Amino acid sequence: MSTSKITETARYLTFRLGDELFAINVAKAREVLDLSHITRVPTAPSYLRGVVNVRGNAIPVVDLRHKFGLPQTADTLTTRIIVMDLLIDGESVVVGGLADAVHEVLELEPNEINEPPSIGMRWRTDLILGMGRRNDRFTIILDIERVFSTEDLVALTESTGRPAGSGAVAK
Amino acid sequence: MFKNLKLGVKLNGSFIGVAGLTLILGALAIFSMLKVKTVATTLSQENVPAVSVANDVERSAQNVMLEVRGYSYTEENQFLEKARAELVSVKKFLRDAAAHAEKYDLKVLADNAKNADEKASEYERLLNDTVKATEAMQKEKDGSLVAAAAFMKACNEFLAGQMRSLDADIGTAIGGKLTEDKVQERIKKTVICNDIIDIGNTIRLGTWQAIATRDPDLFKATMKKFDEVNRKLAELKPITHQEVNLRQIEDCRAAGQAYLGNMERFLAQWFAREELGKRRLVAGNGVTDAARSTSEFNMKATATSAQEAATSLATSSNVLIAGCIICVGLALALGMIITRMITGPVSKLVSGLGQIAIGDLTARVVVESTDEIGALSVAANGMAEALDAKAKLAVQIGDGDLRHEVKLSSDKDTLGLALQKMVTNLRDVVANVRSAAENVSSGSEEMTSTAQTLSSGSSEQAASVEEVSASMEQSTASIQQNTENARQTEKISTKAATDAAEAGQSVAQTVKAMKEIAQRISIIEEIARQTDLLALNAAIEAARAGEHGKGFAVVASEVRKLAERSSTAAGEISKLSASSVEIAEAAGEMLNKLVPDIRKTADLVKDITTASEEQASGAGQVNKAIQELDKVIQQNASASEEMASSSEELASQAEQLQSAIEFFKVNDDGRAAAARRVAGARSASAPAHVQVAHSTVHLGKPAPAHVAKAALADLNRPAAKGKPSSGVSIDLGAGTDDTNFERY
Repeated sequence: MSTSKITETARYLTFRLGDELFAINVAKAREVLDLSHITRVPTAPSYLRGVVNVRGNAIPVVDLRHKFGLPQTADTLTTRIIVMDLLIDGESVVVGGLADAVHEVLELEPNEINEPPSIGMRWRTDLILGMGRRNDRFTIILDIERVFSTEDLVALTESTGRPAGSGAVAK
Repeated sequence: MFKNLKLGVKLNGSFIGVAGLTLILGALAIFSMLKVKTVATTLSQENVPAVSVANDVERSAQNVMLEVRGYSYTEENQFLEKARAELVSVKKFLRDAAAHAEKYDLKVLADNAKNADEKASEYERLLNDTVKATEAMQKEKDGSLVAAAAFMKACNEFLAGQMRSLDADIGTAIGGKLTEDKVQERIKKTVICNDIIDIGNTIRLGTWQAIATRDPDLFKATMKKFDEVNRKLAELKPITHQEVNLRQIEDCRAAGQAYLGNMERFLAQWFAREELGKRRLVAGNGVTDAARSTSEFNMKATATSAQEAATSLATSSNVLIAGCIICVGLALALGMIITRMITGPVSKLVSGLGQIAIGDLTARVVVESTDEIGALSVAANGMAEALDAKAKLAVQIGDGDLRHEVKLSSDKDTLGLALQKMVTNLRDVVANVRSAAENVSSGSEEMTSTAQTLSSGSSEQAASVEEVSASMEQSTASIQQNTENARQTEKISTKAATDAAEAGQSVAQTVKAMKEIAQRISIIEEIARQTDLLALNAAIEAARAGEHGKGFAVVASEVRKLAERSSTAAGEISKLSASSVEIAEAAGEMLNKLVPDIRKTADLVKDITTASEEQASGAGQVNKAIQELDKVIQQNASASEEMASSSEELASQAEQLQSAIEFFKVNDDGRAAAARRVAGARSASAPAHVQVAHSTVHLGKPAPAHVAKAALADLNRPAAKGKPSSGVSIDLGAGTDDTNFERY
């Protein structure tokens, strides 16, 4: 029996980056969007692809591949934008994450989740909540709010041209 | 002697003689002209310029003398300047003369120029002296004027003094103190003084008169008047008492003496100048004389040269006229003599040759001389003799006697060669005709037997031809069967081509439909994807709703799975349809390629049909040809019988020919040689006959009519010398040279 940070049964949204499956708590996700036109923002950091218009609100879009240091590939038919409500350093931020594909909403029991291995991982373990098992495949459950650092917050705020929290306020 | 010289020598000798004379005349004329030319050159270059320069000198010298004369009369300097200028030109002309003399080495001109130059220099010196004398005379003249004025003044003063004294005396007389003697004395003194003044005036007048008239005697006479003055003064002296008056008289006398001295010196200068003038004239005349003598000398030389030239020209003209007359006479005489020498013998030769030309070969030309014409006559006689000999021989040949040999005069004896060739050829011909007649008689016998053999061969031929005819009919039937089969095949293949084309079109339609299906499926895929996204968002919403959304979450999950499955299925269909399209396209392409192949097959089968039909008609023609062959063989049989009777007649004709040719008499050896030649010619032609007998006629296909006829002609020919033919074998196998035959 493994000890995990996660002790409750929860639902996760799974998505794919390259060959690997990732999951975030579904409570962080607001909706999933088809890939539409992304307006580029000048002087923005390279992982920031630009902003999209979601029902009148400009939402910054982060290329998750870039964020995780994976090689860049061309967008495909299955490429999706995951719109997320995040709380970073006490501020509520709405961010779009670009994933190669979004699969499903998955319910995982605590016993289906393993602790992340301390070595042999490409990822920083402090960003990983655990490794979900389902059908002999591992899904990396991300602490998505930690993935975006404080610097990112600044970048995101600048790219939308208003305080990061305003997106949440507008909602 | 001259008569027997060669014609060339005669002609050349005459022409050389006339030409030599002409050459001598020409040389004489040229020599005279050269002489005249030299004279003319001397005239133009030496004498005429010398005369010209002498005339220049003379004219200039005369001008100088004229100007000097003017100067000596007027004593004006303008004449002197002109004279000096002319003198300079005289010297210049003299220098020219000296240069000319030096250039052409003319002694007279040089001497005269030198002499004249000396005279001119002297003249110049004298002229200068004259100028000096003239100036001195002028000076003395001026002096004499002063002296005369002084003399007159002194006299007048004395006279004035006496007049004053007279006045004083008259006053005194009134006083009564004056004696009569004194008065008388005073009057005498006054009278003497007046005389002196008169004489002085006369002297002055005389002096000017003498100078003006250029009369020295008058001048001398005037000078003598001074004696009178002195006498008067001497008269005056005793009666003069006062010291003042005596001094006045003395002054008078001194002045008179001075005047006289001036006059004497003037006269001396005058005489000196006159003397100079004479010498000058002499010098000037010397110059002009020298010039004149030069001129005359050269004029004389010119006249002499011209005379010489005229004489020379006259002499040469006379010589030329005489030479021309001699030349013309000589040429005419030689021409007549030579012409007469040539024309006489030539006309004799012409008449002789004319007789030979009209066929009188017994005529001969009489030889008179040994020149070319004589040689020509000898040659003409030789020709006539040779021709006569040939004519006699020709008469013998005409009589049929071919036994005589022709003697050739030389290799180039064309007539002899022709006669020889004629005799040889006639001998050959006679021999040939004889042997041919013999051959014809023996050949006609052989022909008779051959004709019989031919007759039996013809019946054998007829049997063979019947066999050939039967087998031809069989082959005709099989050819017709072939034609029918080919026609059926053609129909089938044409239909196959049409079907294949239709199949191709169907496949193309299929491809089009499949492409449309692929498009529809992509729409289904899009719908499935959208459904998937909607279901996902619904699941997210449900999850966010917590426990309340659980049931909805299940539904959303199911919907999403359905969408996923339909997407997968659509993708598979899409892949399948893509591969189907490829396959269908490949099939269509293959069908399209197949169609032309099938069409080509149909065309080829059609060609086969056509060929078979042609074959069938060809076989028919072969049949016809065989039937004609049969007819021909029948004709052959009857012809061979006719031939037998013809050959008998030929034998009798040959006998006649033999008796006719006996007219020519020939040596036996010539006859044998001719026979040999004939035998050789026949052995060369014999193998040809044998070959004809063995030839095989190929009738693989119906041959064109002319070929068939040629073959029949071969069969008709009698095979006299070879083996008797045992029939004709017709090869009906596939001939390799079918292509050589025309198709119809």
